[in-house]
Amino acid sequence: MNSLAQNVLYIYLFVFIAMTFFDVVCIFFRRANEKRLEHKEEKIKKLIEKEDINKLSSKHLKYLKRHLKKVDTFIAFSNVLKDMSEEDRKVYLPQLKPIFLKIVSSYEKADEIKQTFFAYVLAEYPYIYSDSHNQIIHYLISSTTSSSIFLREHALTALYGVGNETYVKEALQKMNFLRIKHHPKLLTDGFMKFTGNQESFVQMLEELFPSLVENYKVACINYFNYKKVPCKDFVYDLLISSNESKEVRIASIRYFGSVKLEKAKEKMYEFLKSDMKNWEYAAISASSLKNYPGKDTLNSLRESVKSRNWYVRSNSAATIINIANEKELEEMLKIDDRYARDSLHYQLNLKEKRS
Amino acid sequence: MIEVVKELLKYVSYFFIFYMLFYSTFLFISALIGSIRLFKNRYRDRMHNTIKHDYYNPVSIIVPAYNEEKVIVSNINSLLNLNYRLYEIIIVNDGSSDDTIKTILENFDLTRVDKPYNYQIKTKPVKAIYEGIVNNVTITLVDKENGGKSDSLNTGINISRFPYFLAMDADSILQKDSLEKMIQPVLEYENVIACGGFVRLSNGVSFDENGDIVQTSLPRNLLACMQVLEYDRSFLASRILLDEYNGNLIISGAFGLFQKDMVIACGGYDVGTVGEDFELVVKLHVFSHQNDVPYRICYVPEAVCWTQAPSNLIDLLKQRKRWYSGLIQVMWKYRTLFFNYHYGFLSYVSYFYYLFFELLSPIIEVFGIFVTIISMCFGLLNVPFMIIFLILYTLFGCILSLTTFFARVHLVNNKISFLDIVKAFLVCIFEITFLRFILMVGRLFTLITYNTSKMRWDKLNRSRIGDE
Repeated sequence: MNSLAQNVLYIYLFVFIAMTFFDVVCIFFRRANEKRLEHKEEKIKKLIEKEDINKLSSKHLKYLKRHLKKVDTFIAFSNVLKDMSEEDRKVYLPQLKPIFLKIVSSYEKADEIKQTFFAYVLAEYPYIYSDSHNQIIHYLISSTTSSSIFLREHALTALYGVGNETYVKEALQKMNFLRIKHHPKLLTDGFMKFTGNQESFVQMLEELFPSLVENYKVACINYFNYKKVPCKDFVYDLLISSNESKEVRIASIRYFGSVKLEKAKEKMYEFLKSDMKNWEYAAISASSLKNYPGKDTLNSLRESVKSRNWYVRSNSAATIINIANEKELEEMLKIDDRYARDSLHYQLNLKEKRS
Repeated sequence: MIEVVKELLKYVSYFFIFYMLFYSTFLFISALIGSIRLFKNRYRDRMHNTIKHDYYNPVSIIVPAYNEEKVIVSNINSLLNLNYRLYEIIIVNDGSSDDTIKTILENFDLTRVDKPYNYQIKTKPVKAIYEGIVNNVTITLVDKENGGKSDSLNTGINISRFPYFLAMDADSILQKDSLEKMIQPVLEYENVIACGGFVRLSNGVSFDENGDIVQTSLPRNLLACMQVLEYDRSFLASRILLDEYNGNLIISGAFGLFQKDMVIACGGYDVGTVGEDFELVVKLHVFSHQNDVPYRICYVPEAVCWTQAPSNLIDLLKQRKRWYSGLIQVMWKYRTLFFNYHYGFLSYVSYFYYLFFELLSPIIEVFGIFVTIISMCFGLLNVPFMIIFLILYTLFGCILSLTTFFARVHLVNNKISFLDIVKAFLVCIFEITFLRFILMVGRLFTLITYNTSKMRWDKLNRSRIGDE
C-alpha cells in the first residue's frame, strides 16, 4: 500500500513537472512563434507586391497551392489579406479560385477547428468562389450540419455572403432535416446579412417555412419582422393557429407590432383578456398594439393595465402613453387601480425625459 | 491492548494514505483536464472558432453595494466601457452608513423616479430609486434598507428588466470582453441557466482609465501573491473538470450570469446564508433535478473578472471564515445530495469532493496529526516513510500550483517576466506550507465557533483596484 501510494505520487509528479516544463518552454517560445508568423506574413506580402495583381504568375499560384494547405501559412495569408485594400482583394482573390478548389479537399479532412478557420476565411471573402456552384459551395453547405456551432455559423455566413438563396435553402433544409439546434438569434442575424436579391430570399423562406421546425420558424418570423416583410396573411395564420408552438406565436405577435394588419389586433385583444392564463401572449400583445392606435385598442389596454401580471401591466402602460392623446391620457391617469396609475405615471415620466 | 492499537493504527494509516491518494488523483485529473481544455480553447481562439455578433441577449448587471464609497465609481465606470451593446446596470445600496449614494449621485446624472417594479422575491423595503442614461446604458440606483448581500441581489432581480442577470461585487472590475464571452454558452448550448467566469486577482495588475489592462505581474505583497497561485489552481483545475460533467457547485459571487426565471422559480438568493452564491448554484441543480428540467451550468474561463485579494492576514482569515461558514451551511442544507444516485455525478463527485476535501479537511488533518502523535508514543511510526511521503505530498502541491499558474500564463496569453517566474517558484513553497496551514487553522476555528458567528459578514478593508 505504502509503496503503491509513493509510486502513484511519483508518476503524478513526473507528469506535472513535464506539463510545467512544457508551459514554461511555450511561454518563452511564444514570442518566437509570433516572430515566425510575422516573418511568414512579410514573405507573402513581398511575393504579392512583386506580382501584377491583375494577372498572377504561375509561380505565385504554385507557391500558394503548395503552402496554403498548411494552416500556419493560411493564417499568415489571411492576415496579409486583411491589410490589403478592398479593391485589390477583389482583383486578386478571384484568381485564386482554382487553388481554393484544390485545398478545400485537404481542409475537408482536417479537424473541425481547422475547418472552422477555413470557413471563416471563406466567409470573409465570398468573391473567391461565389460565381458558380462548385466544390467550395458544396463543402460549405455540408459544413452547416457540423456539430461545431462555430463551423456552422461561419459556413452559413459564407453562404449569406455568396448571395444565392438556393444555397441557403439547401443548407437550411439539411439543418432542419437533421434537427440541428442553431440559435434563432444567430439565424435571424445571419439572414439580415444576405447579400443577394432580398425578394427572392424572402420568397424562398416563405416556401420553406411550412416544413421548418420551431427554431427555424422563429428565426424566419423575426427576420420578416426586422425587415418589415409584408407577408401578413401567412403570419396571421400562425398567430391564430393554436397548433403552433408558443415561441412561433409570440414571434408572430411581435411581427404584427411592426407590420400592420387590422384583423390581427382582434386576436391580440383576445390575448389581453386571457392575461392570467397566457401572460406571455398578453404582455407581447400589449406592446405590439402600439401599432394599432384607436379607441378599441385603448379600451382593451384600459383593462389590461390593471392586470395582476407585472409585465402585462407595464407593457400596457407604455403603449397607452404612446398612443393616447392628451385628453385620453388625462382620463386614463384617473384609473381606479393604484398599480396601474403608478405604471402609467412612470411611463409618462420616461417619455417626457426621452423627449 | 497494544496489538489492538497497532491493528487500529494500521487501518487508520491506510485511510490516510487512501485519502491523500484520492485527493491527489482528483487534483491530478483536474489539472490535466483543465490544461487540455485551456490548450484547446487557445487553439480554437487562434483559429477564429468564435461567434462575433453585434447584439447578443440583453443582460442586467446587478451590483450590491454596502459601504463602497471608495470603489463604486471606478466599478460603474468600468461597467460603462464594456464591449457589449445590450445591458443595464443596477446598483443596489444596501443601507450603507457611508456616502455610497452621495458619491454615485455626484458622479452620474441620475434622477429620482417612482418606478414600479415586479416584486417577485420578498426583500427589505426600497427607500428610493434613481435612474439615468449614461453612454446609452441605463443606470438604476436602488436605495434600500439593510438586509444583506442576498437581499440586495434579490432586490436587483425584482427591478431588472432583462431575462439574464449578472451578479458581481462592487469591488470587482469586469474585463471589457467578459460579458461577450460569458453569454456565448447561451447561444452555443440549449438550456443554459447559469454561467460562471474566471475570477482573477487584481493585485499587481495595472489598469488605465478605460479599464484596459496595462501591465500584469505578480503582486509585491507575499500574501496576495500566494493567493494568485491559489486562485489559478482553484479556477483552472477543479472547476473545469467539474464543468465537463455539468457538476460545478460554485459560481463565484463576484462574477456569475443567471437565467432570471430559473432563479425566481427557486426563490432567489437565500438570505439565511453567508454563502449565497454557493447556495444558489446548488439550489439550481437540485431544483432542476427534482423537477426534471433539462439544464446546463457552464464555466467560462475566458470571461475574466478582476477582484482584490485581502493583503493582510486578518482580512484573509475573515474572508475565509465567511466562505467556510457558507460551505457548512450549504453542505448541511443540501445533505440530500450525499450518495444519492438520483443526482449521479453531482452527488458522487461534486458533493463528495466538497464534503471530504473542503468541509471535513480540517477535522481529518487534525485527526492525522493526533494519530501521528499516538503512533510516535507507541513507537509505531515508520519515520522514513512518513518523511518521504510528506515531502512527496508537499512537492506535489507545489508542482500542482506551478502547473496551473504557468498553464494560465501560457494559455490565457499573459506576458510574464523572468523575475515573476522565479517568484512563482519560491512563493509556491510558502503557499503550500504556510498559507495552507494557516487556512486550515482558520477553518478549524470557524468550525469550533460556527454557532456564534455563522451569519456574520466581517468588514474587510477596501481600496480602489490598481491602488495596491
